[in-house]
Amino acid sequence: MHALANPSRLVRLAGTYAPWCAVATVVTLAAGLFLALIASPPDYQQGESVRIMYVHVPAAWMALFCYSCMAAASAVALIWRIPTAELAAKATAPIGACFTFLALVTGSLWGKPMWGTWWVWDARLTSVLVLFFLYLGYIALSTAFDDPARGSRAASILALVGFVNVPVIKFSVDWWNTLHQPASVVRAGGPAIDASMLAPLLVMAVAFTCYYLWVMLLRLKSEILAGKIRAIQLRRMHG
Amino acid sequence: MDDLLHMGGYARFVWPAFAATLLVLGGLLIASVRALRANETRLAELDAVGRSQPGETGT
Repeated sequence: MHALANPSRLVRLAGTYAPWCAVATVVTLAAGLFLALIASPPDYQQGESVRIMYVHVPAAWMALFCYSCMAAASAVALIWRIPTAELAAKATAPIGACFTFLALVTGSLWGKPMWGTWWVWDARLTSVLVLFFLYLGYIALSTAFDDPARGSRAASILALVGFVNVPVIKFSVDWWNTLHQPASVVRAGGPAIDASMLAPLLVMAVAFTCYYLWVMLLRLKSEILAGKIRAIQLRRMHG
Repeated sequence: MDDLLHMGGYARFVWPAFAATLLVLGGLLIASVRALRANETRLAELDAVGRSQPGETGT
């Protein structure tokens, strides 16, 4: 915990682990794409269009996972006043926003052939769109103030308040009538999906998680260096 | 190979989904690496200037 609160040690840690995450991302992504596009069978109802699932579902999981990480880091930053936690949340936001965007776009591309429409204003789709705007709001707030500390504080509060949306998304398919199918992997009674389709799904999810860690470490390191640059410039201006 | 490209008639939905994923994730990665490199260069410059001026401590 102390090592993570110390910016210089965190820069070294990020430098050490980022290359490993890079290797893990490339290997698992290659395996995942092979399983998803070539080695897995078409669905008996959906045919080849089911392959969209292998990017859509992991992207949607990551959208929620990144937001949860961002909210947790924001809570740590607000409660214990640890600036590096704020930077970790700030580093996570654009990655989560990209995953949310991809969940929406690939979902749309899957919805057109399967539901006959690109978009419906139902609970699942709308709550994920809200998640996307929460990410954008967080990014806008955290960069809106001249004093980065004030912006980060406002953004952290937004991240925490917006966390109510995460369980709403997860359970939206059970609470409301929706075109979107209910959970078939993370559900009581075990996965309702064949092993030949579960394998590519999980490998892609691991690949996306490694990607998140990799890019988060790069961005975190970059944020810490940017803070040092600001500190030096301030010192020179006033010193 | 033709079967793979054709995707059982769903090619115009399946391939854009995978392409969008790789483009967005690749783009974010490149942007992040570039921002990090720029900050590393800037910090090295500031440190170099700091070292050449007595009394400055750099980082």
